[in-house]
Order: sequence, then structure tokens, then C-alpha cells
Amino acid sequence: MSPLLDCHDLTVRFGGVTAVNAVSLAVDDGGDVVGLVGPNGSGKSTFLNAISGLVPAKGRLTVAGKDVPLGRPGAIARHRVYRTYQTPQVNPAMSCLENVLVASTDTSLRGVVGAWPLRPGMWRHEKRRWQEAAEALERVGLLDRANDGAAGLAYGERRHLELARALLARPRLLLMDEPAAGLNTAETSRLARLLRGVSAEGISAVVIEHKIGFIEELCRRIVVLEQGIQIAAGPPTEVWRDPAVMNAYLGEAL
Amino acid sequence: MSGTEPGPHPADPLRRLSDELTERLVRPRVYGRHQWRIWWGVAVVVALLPLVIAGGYQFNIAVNAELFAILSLGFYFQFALAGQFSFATPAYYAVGAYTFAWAAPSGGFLLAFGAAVVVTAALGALTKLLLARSPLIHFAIATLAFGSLVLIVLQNWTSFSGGGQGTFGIPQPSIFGYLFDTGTKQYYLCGTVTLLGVALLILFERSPAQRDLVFVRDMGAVAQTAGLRSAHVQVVAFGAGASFMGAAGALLASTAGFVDLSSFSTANGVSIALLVLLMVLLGGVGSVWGPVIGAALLTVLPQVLARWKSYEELIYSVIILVVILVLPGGITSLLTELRTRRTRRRPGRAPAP
Ligand SMILES: Nc1ncnc2c1ncn2[C@@H]1O[C@H](COP(=O)(O)OP(=O)(O)O)[C@@H](O)[C@H]1O
Ligand SMILES: [Mg+2]
Repeated sequence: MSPLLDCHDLTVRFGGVTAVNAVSLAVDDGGDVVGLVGPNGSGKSTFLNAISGLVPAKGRLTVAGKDVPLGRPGAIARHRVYRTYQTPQVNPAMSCLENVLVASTDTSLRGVVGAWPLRPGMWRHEKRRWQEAAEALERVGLLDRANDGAAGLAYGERRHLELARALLARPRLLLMDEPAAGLNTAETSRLARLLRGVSAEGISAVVIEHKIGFIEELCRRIVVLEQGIQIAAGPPTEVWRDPAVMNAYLGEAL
Repeated sequence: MSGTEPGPHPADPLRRLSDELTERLVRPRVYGRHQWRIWWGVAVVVALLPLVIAGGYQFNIAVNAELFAILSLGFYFQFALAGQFSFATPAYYAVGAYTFAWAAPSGGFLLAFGAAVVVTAALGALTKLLLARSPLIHFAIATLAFGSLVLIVLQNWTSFSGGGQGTFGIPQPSIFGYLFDTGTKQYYLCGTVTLLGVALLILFERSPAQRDLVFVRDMGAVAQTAGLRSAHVQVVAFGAGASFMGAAGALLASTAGFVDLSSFSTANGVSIALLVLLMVLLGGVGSVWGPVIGAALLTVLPQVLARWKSYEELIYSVIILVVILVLPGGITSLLTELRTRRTRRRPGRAPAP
């Protein structure tokens, strides 16, 4: 059986710089979590950007055996793969609830037809959507902020808001860029517990993270990048002992 | 953690909350009612205004203000809500007018009005579709070219538009046998359409369509990675905005009784594309009432200032600078500010302890 996500030789070049160099990575369906680690500037975020079509890339990308065109933002979302960002992407002009609602999979009567001629039907769908979105917010612990503007959220809360949005989209696969950055120890372990629950429900994930404990708690397998090249892959405990990995991190304050 | 065991409800991972709890906690604030109270207030003003309007000339000005309000509402839709800056306003205005002039003699007012709305909506959607990949500034320049192209086509397609002569003898508005044959009646007709336009925008701003549109506008590619169909959302919104301009064109054709291309290039010596932009900026992009206020002020202002006609350009330039430097949110932002200040001061009125 083919893996859920299969990246084959993904390469991203910015001018003369090769930010991601022929990296391959596979994630299985049904709750597989793969960690992506490496020093700053090693190309982890660029790799996720390539998968989600935000930067032009070469190589091959399939989801559940189906080819996904590269360089087209949103192409992979059609396959129910959603992501969060290293810098949380929330719209500060909208409420928390609205920031989540946009990702609802219920697209009925969301255009001008729902806004004008078929409003009663639109309200029925909206109430269902509000409920779903409230459940997603409650899951990340932001339900009591539902109607507050997203501008008032702290950095870590914005990350959780992004996560709620991704969860509302009913993903098969989540791509997360440093979800625990900026969280304290208690918040980090709460997030790890949340993500373990998500994985237990059958949602797979690729997680970029620097916090080793977090990665070990969550990931079956990790992939290590250095200067865009994959230097190691395997179960976390084995990978840390790899001399190439120890070299790569030498001098990095970890 | 390998997560090899499938969860209990893989299809529905989100826990169900009770309906009332959700309703109480999360009914979005935007669904408040104050816009409708303002709407009724403005409707009363529109209804009573003829008491102070004297003579056919002043009714002409008032109808003109209403037409510009509808045009500005269309521009507000495209610019403030959809984030698309376009110079093609005169083109949609003209296409609406000529479509009406073409369809009205045989089809009657309502059918011709509908045709103008549908044709301009399609033309607007087509514009955005063709330019879907153009970034903001390129889009603006391209709509400038597109707009002139449309006007040139109309100019030369003489069998449809009458060319330089224009089209004459367009029937006056008439609905179910009721003829709008006086300035007062036409004022009320255009006022009703303006208020309907505002109502449509209020409804739109209280709908998921607005939410998706704003998210697409502000978040760019992030919206696409969240699953939103950005291009589709923007094409529909741009077309909807253009259809307002088409409606204004239809009303112009039928109230004036003739159309020729000069009506769509300038008004009082100012390009219509710029004048509409100025109306929306002066009124304010933050509220649906902005375009209405801006259109009313900038249609009446030249009449008040008729004696200083030679300073007109100077006056417009000063208005642009003052709005941009002092009042970037327009007049409506000033009104909102005053209202929030007043409500905030209220608790402070209690005697000091
Ligand atoms: N849009 C871009 N244009 C040019 N260079 C970029 C761009 N995005 C990332 N890079 C470069 O690619 C390399 C990898 O960056 P990044 O993927 O952000 O690393 P990481 O997430 O592992 O810290 C860096 O050298 C960075 O400067
Ligand atoms: Mg990064």
C-alpha cells in the first residue's frame, strides 16, 4: 500500500541557493507522525512550503497515490492536507471563531446565493458550522475567546487558533511548523497531549520542532535536514546517536 | 508515539457540544442589528428630502447623487470588501446603460434593468477571471486598459450604441404600468434602488461570503492552503460589484432618456473612475455608509461651490490630501469614533466617589 504522503526528491532553489536538496519523505495513513528536525536555516520550513505549493519546487509529490501539482497553493488542501505556520497566520481583523470558520468543510450556501436569496438555508448551515468551529476551539482551549478579536491573542494562542482551523478542515494529514515554539513547559506538554489525541484519531502529521522531548513523545520517525540535505532518518533515539547528526548540531545551542 | 491504533471516531474527531451552549457562546458579534436601525433612519431621510428640494434642477442633482451612491457601493464592494482596485467603473456603468437602452424598448423596464445587472456582473466576473493572476497594481492598470477598450468598442459599435450620436428615445422607467415620469418619482425610484443596494451589502456583510472574502483578501496564499477557493471567491465578488455599476447605468439611461459616451468619462470635469474612488475614500471604506455619504457630499459640493468653479481642481486635490493625511478612514470612521467615545464616557458621568 502506498503511503499517505510521499515526497520524492523535492528540490527548492532560490536563485543560487538550494534550500531543499532532493529530500524524500513518506508518512503513513492513520496517525503516523514524522518529525522534521535540523539547525536553523536547514530548509525545514521551505520543505513544508514546497509541499503546500507556496514556493516553486521540483520533484514528485503524491497523496494516497495521487499526484499533486507542485507550486500551486491549495492543491494539496484538496487532498485534505492542511498546515500551520512558523509565524502564526491568523487574521487579526477577524474574531477567533471567524478565523477558524473559514476552514469548515461545509461549503454549502457560503457564497452570494447564501448571502442573498437563500438566507434561511444559509442560517441552518451556519449554525452547524458555528458549532463545529466552537468544538474545534474548545479542543485547543480557546472556546471562551471565540468572539474576541484574534488581534488580542498571545503568540502561543495564535498557534492554537491555527491548529483549530486546521482541525476543523478534517485533515488526513497535518503539516505543523514549530507548533511548540514560544510555549512554556506546561503548555508544551499540554500541546503534546493534544497532538497525541489527534494522532490517535487517525490523523497523520509532519511536525517541525526543536524541542527534543516533544519530538520523542510524538514521533515514530524523524528526518534530519542540514543545509537542505537529508542527513539521517529513523526512530528518534537512533538518530540522536548518529555522528552526522551530532556534528550538524555542534555549536547550535540546543 | 506511533498512533497505530485507530481512534474511536476517526470520521468525527470533534467532540459534540450542546446546541444552546454553542449558540450562546459563539453567535458572532457581526450579526448585530444596528446597521438596520441606521438603514431605516436613512430611508426616512430619503423619503422626506423632497420636502426641502425645490424644482426640477435640484431633483436632477439628487438623482445624480443616488446614481453615484450606487456606483460607489459597487466600487466599495470591489475595493473595500474584495480588495480589488479597479479603474473600470465607467466601463461597467456604460455597459449597464447601453444594455438597458438596447433591451428596454422591447423588454420593458424590469427586464432591461435585469439584463443590465446580469450583463455587467458577467463582464466584471470575466475581467477578474482573465486577470486572476495579476497582483494588485497590475490588476489596477489592466482594468484601466480594459475600461478604455470597452468604451472604444461601444464607440465604434454604432448599431448597438449609436456611436458618437448616442442613443435617444430610451423609455422612462415604468413598473407594472406605473410610469415614473417626474423628477420626484424618479428620485424615489433611484432612492429605492440605492437603499436596496445598501441592504444587499448589509446582508452580504452578515454572511459567510463576507468572511471568506475578507480572509482571502487579507491572507493571500494562506487562505488557499486553508482550503478556500480564492480565485472563485474574488471573481464572484468583483462581478457582484460590477453589477451595481450596471444597475446605476440602467437607471441613468432610463431617467435621462438618452445615453452617449460623454456621460461615462467625466462628471463636472473629473474622471468618473477617480470621482467614485474619491467618494468612497471621503465617505470611508470601513462602512457601507461611507460610499453613500461620499457620493451625496461630492455631488452636492460642486453645486454649492458653483461660484468658485475655477478652483474646482484645487478643491478636489485638497479633499484628497485631507482625507489621506487627516482622515484615512473617511467620514464614517469619524462618526464611529464619536459614537464609541460617547458610550465610553457614560459610566464616567456618575458622581466621583
Ligand atoms: N522565500 C525565500 N527566498 C529566498 N531564500 C529563502 C526563502 N525562504 C527561505 N529561504 C532560505 O532558505 C534557507 C532555508 O530556510 P528555512 O526553510 O526557513 O529554514 P528552517 O525552517 O529550517 O529554519 C535559508 O537559507 C533561507 O534564507
Ligand atoms: Mg523554519
